Amino acid sequence: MDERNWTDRPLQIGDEIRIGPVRVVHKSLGFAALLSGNLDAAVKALAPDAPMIGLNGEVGEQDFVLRIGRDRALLVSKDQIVEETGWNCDGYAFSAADDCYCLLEISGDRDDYFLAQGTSCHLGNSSPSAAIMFAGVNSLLARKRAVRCLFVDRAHLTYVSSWLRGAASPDPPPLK
Amino acid sequence: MTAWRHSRLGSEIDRTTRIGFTFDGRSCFGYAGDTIASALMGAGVSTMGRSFKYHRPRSVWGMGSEEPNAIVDVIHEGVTTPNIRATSCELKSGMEVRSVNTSPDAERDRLRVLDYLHRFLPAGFYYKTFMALDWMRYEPRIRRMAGLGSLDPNHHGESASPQFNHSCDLLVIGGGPAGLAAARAAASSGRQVWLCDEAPVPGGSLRWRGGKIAGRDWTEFVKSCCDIVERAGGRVLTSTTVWGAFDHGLFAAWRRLEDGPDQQLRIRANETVLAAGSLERLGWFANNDLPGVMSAEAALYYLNCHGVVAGRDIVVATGSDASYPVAAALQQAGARVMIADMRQETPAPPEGVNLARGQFVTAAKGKRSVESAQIGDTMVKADAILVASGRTPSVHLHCQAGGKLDWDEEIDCLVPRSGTSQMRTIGAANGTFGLKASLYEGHFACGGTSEIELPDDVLDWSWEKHRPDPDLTGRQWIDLQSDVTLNDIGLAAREGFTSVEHLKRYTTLGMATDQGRTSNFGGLAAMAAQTGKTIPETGTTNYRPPFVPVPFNVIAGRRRGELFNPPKRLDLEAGHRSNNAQFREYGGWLRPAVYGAGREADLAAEEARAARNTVGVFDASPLGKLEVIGPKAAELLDFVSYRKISTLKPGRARYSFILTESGIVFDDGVVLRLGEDHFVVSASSSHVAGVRFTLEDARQDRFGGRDVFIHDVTSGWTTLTVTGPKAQLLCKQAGLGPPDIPHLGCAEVSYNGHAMRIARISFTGDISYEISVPARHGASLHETVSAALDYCGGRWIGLEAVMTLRTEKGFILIGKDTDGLTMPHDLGWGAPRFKRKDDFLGKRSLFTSAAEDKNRRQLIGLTVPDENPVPVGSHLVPLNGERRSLGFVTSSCFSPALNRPIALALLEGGFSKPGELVGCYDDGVVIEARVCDACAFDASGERLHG
Repeated sequence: MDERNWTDRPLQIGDEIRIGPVRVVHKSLGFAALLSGNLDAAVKALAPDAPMIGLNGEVGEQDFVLRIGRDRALLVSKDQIVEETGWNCDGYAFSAADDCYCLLEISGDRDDYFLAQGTSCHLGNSSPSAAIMFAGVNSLLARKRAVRCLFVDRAHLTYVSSWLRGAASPDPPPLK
Repeated sequence: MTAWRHSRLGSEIDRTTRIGFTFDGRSCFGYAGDTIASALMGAGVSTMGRSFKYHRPRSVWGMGSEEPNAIVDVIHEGVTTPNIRATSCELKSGMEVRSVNTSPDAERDRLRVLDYLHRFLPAGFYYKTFMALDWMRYEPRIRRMAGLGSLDPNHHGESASPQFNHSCDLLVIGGGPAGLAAARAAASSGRQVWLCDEAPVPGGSLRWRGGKIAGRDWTEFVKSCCDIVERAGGRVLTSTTVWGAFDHGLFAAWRRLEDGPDQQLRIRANETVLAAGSLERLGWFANNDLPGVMSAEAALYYLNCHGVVAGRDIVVATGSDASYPVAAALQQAGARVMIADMRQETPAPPEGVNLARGQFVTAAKGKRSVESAQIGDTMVKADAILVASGRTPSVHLHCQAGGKLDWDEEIDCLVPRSGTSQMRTIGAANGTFGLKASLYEGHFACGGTSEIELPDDVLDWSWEKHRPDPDLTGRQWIDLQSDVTLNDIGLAAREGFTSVEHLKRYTTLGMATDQGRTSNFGGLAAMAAQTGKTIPETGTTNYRPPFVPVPFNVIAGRRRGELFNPPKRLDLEAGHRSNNAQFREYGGWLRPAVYGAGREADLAAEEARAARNTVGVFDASPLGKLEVIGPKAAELLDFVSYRKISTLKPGRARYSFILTESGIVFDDGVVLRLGEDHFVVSASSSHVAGVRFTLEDARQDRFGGRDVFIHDVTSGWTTLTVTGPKAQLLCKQAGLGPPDIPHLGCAEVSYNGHAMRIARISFTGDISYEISVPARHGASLHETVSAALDYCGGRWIGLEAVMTLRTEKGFILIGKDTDGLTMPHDLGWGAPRFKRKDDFLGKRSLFTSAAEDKNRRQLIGLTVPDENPVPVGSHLVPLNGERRSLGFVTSSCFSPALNRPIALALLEGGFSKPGELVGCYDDGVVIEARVCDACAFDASGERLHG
């Protein structure tokens, strides 16, 4: 194809995609920060009540920490996180990352069929790390009750939303 | 071959639904439930195609994916699908079926004359032919004659073949008796089972062999198995071919749907059982490829499933009791049947069937199809010869998964060696033949504990060994699809290609799309006989995916077109579009190339001129922002960078390279020091991930993974670069940051209550400021800067203008002005390698004899007398003497500031050749150019410092 001929456009916050019974909404992430190193100390200092969440973990309505790797996590908060970017003497690194990720909320009947098109991870299982490959790009996956929360790199948002827009509807179930 | 449709038989066709189609333009009909092959046989079509090499007439041999002959192109609903196996494709109304490798059609193929010239087309034909004479003259003609079906260049495939990832507890591959018994046993104990079968209905050989299991009809057994599997939360997937076994228990399956696009399933299972059955081997006698010679098991399948009788005068050439029910069924269907059994001791023949004991067919006779069969000294009238000379377990997936094979002398087969692959193999695929034994093995393989239902009658499935006979007169085919004969195997052996891998490549044995299912055993047996070895000593070739030809669109799924290699997108894309930006992909990002309508080169020149005269702004958001944080951050960067970073003061920036271990320039960029233990590595847009991995490698291996960490926050920031003589004015007008940052200085400031970082770094040679804000504030910054641009008389500039500006200054672009051999001293950065006493990445490689060679290709500039730039990639050649490449042009453009073309190039010993003339060779034309300094504009750097 022509390298100039890109027809898709970014998905704005609040925009919605419907694929059969599945609904995908681009939601505001709030505020976020990347943490590395002593995660316990970082969470204790920055958001002591925030749970550390892995794959399919319940994010709830309050602050939470999505574990990316053994010593790396994404702190997500409704409020601005007051901390100076850099090294903290408690042994962790802090970087403001408010805009590094975008949040896509995916809900609807048979959303597991829908998501199974993009990831090979077992959507019924959990894992200490929320990191997955979705549609070929690094992402984080958690849930808010029945809603799947997919965190994608901001620069990949347009691609992922195009990918989702063209995914096969899970209605009827593809494996019936 | 005169196959015909029986008036009553055919359990899988619906005679109330006639389906019309054409074959090579001839109108035919079949019934719902037919495959193309069964419909063609039922329509009396004898020649369905021509052989690959000799263009001999061919018809159906088998009944599934093993089919080597009946390969057709199908046009249906405007879509052409080439090289479909007629045996595996369901017949649909209006199909236009075309034979492949024929002209004008299968019946009247003009190239059948090649068969008379077969002595001149031996094994290794291409290898021998393309060494002779002026081969380039005749190669295109031979190439046109080769190949099978024809692609429709206008066909782009289905737009979306969905791909699904799934996992299950137990994956059973193959829905025959063994697979069904295994699935049922596992599901009965509560396991979630996925049962995949490539046929449209499960049952395997039960579909045509039929019979009773524990006194009940076989269909009840199949139904009960499927019900139990589904009740336990499992799946029964028909028309689903598991085509590849990959690492870590991953299987790929191709699923064909009636009412939707094909799907690809990626299945991960806790446990896998392979029950893929076995395939009938070819029988070896003269002309064993003629239409009418086919698998005895396939003939029974066509009879019972599709009501097609293979012929009227049928010879069953066998060495096994298992063929006797075939003969009986065909006789009862109305054919005249004779059994030629190579054994002396046989069962009594079925009623009405003649039996020749101790005899086998030695030749098939006939011009276009079988007309008679030679059995010993007797010639017997026959229009079909059904062959049953042994079975080969279908072990492909076991071997794809790394499994080994053992030779089982008793059953004359290679069988899977237990425990050598990730799956267990059962049933005929494991060399366990016969319904009773298969059910038994399947049941207990998957934890069956209860009483097993077994069939009422038991058949002896052993057979007499049969091998190709080199003493027989006439050509015997070993590989039907690749047109390999026994003589070819002999020739390969005489010419020294006795290794099985050499045999495969020299003769093309087993290299066709049937993956040698019917041919490999015969080839091995023939080579073993030639070399005096046993079959296990001869060995087998490797088995690789796919098990069957899978359409590309199924494998590609949705990663095609815009989704094939999608670029990252700028946060300000909408803003740039509103300024009429024309976009292109640069280093994995979609970025503005130029703004406005018109010729790109003209627009870029205008933008570059404006940036030199007033001020230009471009979106530099893709520049890497790798935060390196921690007490050992400086130490890490010292090790990874070519220039020392720890001496940098906070608030300052330094240009440096990152090298590979071999000393080659991997990336260049600027490192900002924001605090004692906080740096930002501004990697090239296209190298962010690579630089991060390089940093991570060193961090984890050398620094123990503690006290220094790397955060990639590239996507979280929007960066606009303001460049030009009025850059400071624009910043002031927009209210951005402190005005007195020195060159290579940086500052973190607050702008409208949020963070902003300003770095004075130049990629253009003019005063430049990189202004970065959190991406959510990018639109606001864009608006502010746009207003200030209008005030200053500047403009937005695209990447094409930036390329012009940096080329004028001799600033490099990694990967464009460097290649896989370029070291920093080739770019004029030789000092750090001598100055630095400490260790750094790539250091030792900078002092090898090759690294210190004076004639290394070095970065220089070129001036050309012509008005047009020299093409990028032009080779630099001597103007006198023998022509050879001295290097090549890496960047080239017309400089609006200098009003002449400029170029950068890598030239052998270039630093020592200023003022010399070289030739720029492109497409047969040599343009004279003079070597000069890479920096063509403002060499003293006055503009940079204001």
